[in-house]
Amino acid sequence: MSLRSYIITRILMTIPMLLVLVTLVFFILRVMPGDPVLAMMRPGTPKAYLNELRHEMGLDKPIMVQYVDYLWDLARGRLGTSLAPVRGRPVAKDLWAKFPATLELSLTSFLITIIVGVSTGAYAAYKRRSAADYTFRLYSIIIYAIPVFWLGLMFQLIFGVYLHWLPVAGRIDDLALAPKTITGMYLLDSVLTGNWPSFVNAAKHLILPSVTLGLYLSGIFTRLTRSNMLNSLRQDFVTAARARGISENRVVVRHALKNAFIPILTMMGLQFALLLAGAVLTESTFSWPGLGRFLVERIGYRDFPSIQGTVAFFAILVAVVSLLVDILYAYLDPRIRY
Amino acid sequence: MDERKQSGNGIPLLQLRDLVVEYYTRSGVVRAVDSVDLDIYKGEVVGLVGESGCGKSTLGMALLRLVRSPGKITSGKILFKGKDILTLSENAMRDLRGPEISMIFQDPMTSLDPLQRIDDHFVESIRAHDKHISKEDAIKRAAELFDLLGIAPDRLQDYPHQLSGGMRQRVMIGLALALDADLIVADEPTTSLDVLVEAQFLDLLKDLRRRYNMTLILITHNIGIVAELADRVAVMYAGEIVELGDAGPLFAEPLHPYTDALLGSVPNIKLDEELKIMGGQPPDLLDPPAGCRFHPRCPYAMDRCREEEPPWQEIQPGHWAACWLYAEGKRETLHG
Amino acid sequence: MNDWEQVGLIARFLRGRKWYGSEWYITVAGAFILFIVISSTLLAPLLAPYNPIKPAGGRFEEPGAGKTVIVVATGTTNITKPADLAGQKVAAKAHSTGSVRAEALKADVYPALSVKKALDSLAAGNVRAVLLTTQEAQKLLPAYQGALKTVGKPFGITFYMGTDNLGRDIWSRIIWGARGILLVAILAALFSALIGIPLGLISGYWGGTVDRVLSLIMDSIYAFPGLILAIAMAAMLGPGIVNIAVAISVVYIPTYFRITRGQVLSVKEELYVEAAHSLGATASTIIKAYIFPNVVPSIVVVFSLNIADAILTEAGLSFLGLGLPPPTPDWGFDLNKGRAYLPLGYWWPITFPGAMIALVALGFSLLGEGLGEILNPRLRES
Repeated sequence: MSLRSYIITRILMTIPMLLVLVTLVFFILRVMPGDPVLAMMRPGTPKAYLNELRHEMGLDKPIMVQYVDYLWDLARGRLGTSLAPVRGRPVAKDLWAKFPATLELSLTSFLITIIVGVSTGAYAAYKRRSAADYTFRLYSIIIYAIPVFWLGLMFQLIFGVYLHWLPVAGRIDDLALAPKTITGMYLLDSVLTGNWPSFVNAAKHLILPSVTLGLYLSGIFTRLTRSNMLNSLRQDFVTAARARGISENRVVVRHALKNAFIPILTMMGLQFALLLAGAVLTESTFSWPGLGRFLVERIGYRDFPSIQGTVAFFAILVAVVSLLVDILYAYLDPRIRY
Repeated sequence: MDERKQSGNGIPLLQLRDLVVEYYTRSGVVRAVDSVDLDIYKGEVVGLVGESGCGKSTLGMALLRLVRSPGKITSGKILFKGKDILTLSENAMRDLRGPEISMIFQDPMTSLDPLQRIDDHFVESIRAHDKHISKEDAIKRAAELFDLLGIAPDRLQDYPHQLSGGMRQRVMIGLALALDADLIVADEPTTSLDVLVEAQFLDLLKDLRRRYNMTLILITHNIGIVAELADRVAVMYAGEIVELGDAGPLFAEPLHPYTDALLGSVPNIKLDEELKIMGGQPPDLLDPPAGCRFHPRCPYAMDRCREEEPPWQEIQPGHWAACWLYAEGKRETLHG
Repeated sequence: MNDWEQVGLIARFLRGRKWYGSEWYITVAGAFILFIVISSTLLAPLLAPYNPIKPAGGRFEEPGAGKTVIVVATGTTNITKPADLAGQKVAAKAHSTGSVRAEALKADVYPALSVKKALDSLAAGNVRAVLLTTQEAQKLLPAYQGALKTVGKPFGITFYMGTDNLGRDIWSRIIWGARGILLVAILAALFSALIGIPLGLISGYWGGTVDRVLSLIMDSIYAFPGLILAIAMAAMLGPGIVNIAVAISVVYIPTYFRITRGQVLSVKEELYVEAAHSLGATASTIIKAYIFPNVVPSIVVVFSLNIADAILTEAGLSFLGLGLPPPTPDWGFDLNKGRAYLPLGYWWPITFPGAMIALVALGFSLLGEGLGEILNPRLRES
C-alpha cells in the first residue's frame, strides 16, 4: 500500500468518527437536557417567546427530523443562526472569524509543550534516578495539578502587574496595528506582509497565554517521553549502536529519542484535544478573542445555536487533527505503510 | 593450537583477569560474573556455553563495557592487546567499540534501528570512526560486504522490517566486518533463527572465519553450534567458568560433572542414547550455595564440595576444570 | 483487632517504605495532603473564624491585616473598652475593617472616604473615636504628633489570607469552599464509575455488536476535549452541585469503560476463567468471582486520578461562571471574581484559592500515582 492510498483510506475512516462525534454533540446538548430552550431561558420567560424560539430553531419538529436537518446543515457548513446578541447572524461566520486566534494560540502552545515536555522527559529518562530525573518527574505531576487559568493569573500578576514586561490581555494593543488579514493569525500575517511593528506587538501579547497553555500540557509530555524513552533506551538497537562506537549524543537523539517519539506521536491527537480544552480557559484568562472565549460569551447570552455550533466545530477540529496526526505518523514510521 | 602460536606470539588478544560483574538490585547484590579468568588468542573461536542466567551474556557485554544498569564491572581487568580497557576514557572506549571489538546480538529483529535504512546503519558506523570516508564510499563498502554476505545490494535501501531474520543477522555481521573488528563477540547469534537459516548462517560464519582469520567469542546455550565452530570451549555455571579446554577433548571426555550433564541433555539423533535430564535449578545468585556451586545438583557431590570451593586446575594439558574429584590426582577423567 | 495486630500493621506500613521506595513516599504525601484538607473542611465551623458568605472586614484587606485599634483625640474621652462604643459617634473608612467592626459594636458610624479623613474629623472634634487597623495606625498616627492617642489593645482577628472584594474573609471561604469542590468531584467520579464500569463489563464480556457500538461511542467521547463537553452540558443543565457533577461525569465515563473492558478481555483469556466457564459457571458468577477482583485495583487507581481531574474540571467550570451558584464559597468562582481586580495589584484574592485547587488536585494525583505503582507491580520498573 502506498502512502497516498493509506492517506485516502485514512480520510475515509475519518468520516464515521466525525459522524459519531457530531451525533454525540447533538444528543448530549439537544436531547439530554429535555428542552434546550426551557433549559437555557430564565424562568418566567413568556411562553409565546419560548415557542417562537422553538419554532425558529426547529425544535417543534420530531427529533429524528431535527437530527437529519442538523447533519444536512453541517454537511453544508451551516451551524445555525444566533439568537443573541445579534439575532439571525450565522454562527459559522463568527466561528470562522474567531478560529485563527485559537489556532495561533494552540499551535504556539503545542510547540512549547513539545519542546519543554520532550526535552525534560528525554533527559530524565537518560539520567534515570538522578536528581534531575526526580525533579522533572515531580514537575510533571505538579504542573498537571495546577489549574491552567491560575497559572495564567499568576503570570499576569508577575510579568504584567509587577514587572510590566508583558501585556496581560488581548491579541494586540490596537486593532489599527493588526496586520492585513491573510490567514487571520497575526504572527504569520505580519511576517507575510513584512509588518514588523505589528509582529512585535502581537508576539508580546502571545507570550504569556501560549507559555501558560504550553506549560500546562508539558507535564504530560514529560511523562510520556520519559517512559517511552526509558523503553527505547532499553532496546537492543540502542545497545547495538553503542557497541558500534557511535557517539552517545547520536545514539540518544537519533536512535533512542527518534524511536521514542513514534508512540508519543500516536497519542498526540488526544493531547491536542486536551490542549483545546485548556485553550478555552486560557482564552478566558487572557481575554484572547478565540473560540473558547466566544463559547463562554455566548453561554452568557444563552445563545443555544452558538453553543451547539461551537461544540460541533470543536468535534470537527478533533477529527481533523487526529487525521493529520495519523498522516504524519505514516510519513515518519516506515513500518506502517506495508 | 598451532594457528595460535603462529599469529599471536603467544600473547593473547584478550585477557580477562579476575573479572567480577555485579548487579545491584532491590533484593541485593547479584554477582553475575564471578572472578573469571580467560585468554582469547587471535584467530580462534571460543565457545562460551552455559544455561540461561549463568552470566555468559553479561560477560559478553562486559567486554565492551556495556553492562546495563544496575549492573557494574566491580573489579578485575580486561586486557585487550595488552591494555586494560577498564581504565580507558569513555571516548577512547568508543573508538574501541566497532573497529576493535564488535558485537552481534541475539535478536536481529531488534538490533537494527527500525527507523533507519540499512545503508544509513553502515554509513553511520563507518563515519563514526573515520570522518574522512565519504558517504558514497561507505555505501560502496557496504555493497561489497552485501555481495560477500549473499544479499542483493539493492536491499541496502530497505528498512530493517523489510528483511528476513536471516538477512538481518547477516547485516549485523556485515556491520561488524565493515569496521574490520579484531574481535567479534556473538551473543546467541542463531537463537532467533529457524533451523535452515541457522545452518546457512553457520556456513557463512565458517566461511568468513577462514577468509578473515576472525577471532570470535561465541556465546550460546546451543552445544551443537559450538561443536561445529569452536576451537576451544569455556563452560560457565552460576557466574563462574567451571571447565575450559579444546573443543574435541572437552566434548569427548568432559571433566566437570556439570559439563557432562549439559552434554548429556543435548538431543542427539545419531546416537541412540537415552536423553538425560539434569535435575534441579541453577542456584539463586543472590545467595549462592557454599563450596562448589554445582554441588546441590551434582551426582558426585562429596562433603568437601559443600564446604570448600574447588581449585581451578589443569587436569590434562590445556584442559582445565574446577572440581574436587580431581584433587590430589585421584582421578584424571570423569568416567575413567 | 488486638494491639499486636495493630503493631504489625504499622510495622508493615513502615516496611513498605523500604520496598516501594519513592512510590511509598508519593502515596503517603498524597494521603497526607488529602487528610489535612478533608479534615479541615469537616471542621470548618471550628476553624473558620468568619461566616464565608458575609462581610467580615473591609474590602481587600491584605493578608495579616485586620486587627482593629481605636484612636481617640487626647483628653476628650472616657472610652476604654471596645464595648463602650455602643451609640457613640465613630468614624471609620467606608467598607473597611474598622467600619465593619464599629457596626458590629453598635456604634453610630460615620463612613469616611479614607482613614486620613476619618482621623481629621476626629482631630476636629466631630466624632468621638476612629476605628482603624493596626497597620493603618502605624502608618498614619505619627503625622498627628501625639495629638491623637490609641486606646484599647488591638482587638478582633487577623485575616490570614486577607479579604475579598466584598470584605469576606478568604481563609474562611477557602476552608468552607473545599466542601463544594470535593463533593462535586467525588460525585462526578462516582457517577462515571457507576455508568462506565457496568458498560465496560457488558462490552468486554459479551463482545460482538454491543461491544463495537459502545466502544465507538466511548472512544469518541474520550477523543473529545472533555472540558468543552462539560462546559456545554453545564450551560444547558444550569448551576447546582448535582448538575455540575453530571456534566463532569460524562467526560470520564470512557475512562472507566476502557479500563474495565480491557481488564475483562485479558482476564477472560486466562485459563482459570475458561475452566470455570466449561464447568458451567454462570456469567454473573464469573464476573463476580473472577473478573471483578481483577478489575478493582485498576479502578481504585483510576478513581483517585479521576477525582484529581474532576477537581480541575470543576474549578474550570466555576472559573467560567458555570459552577456552584453564588454566594456558595467556590474556589474557581472566587478566582473569577478576583481576576477583575488583578490589574490593581490585589494578589491575594486570586493566589490562595488557586493554590488550594492545585494542592487538592495534587493530593489526589499523588495518591493515584503512588497506588498505581504499588497495586500494579507489573508496571513497576525493576
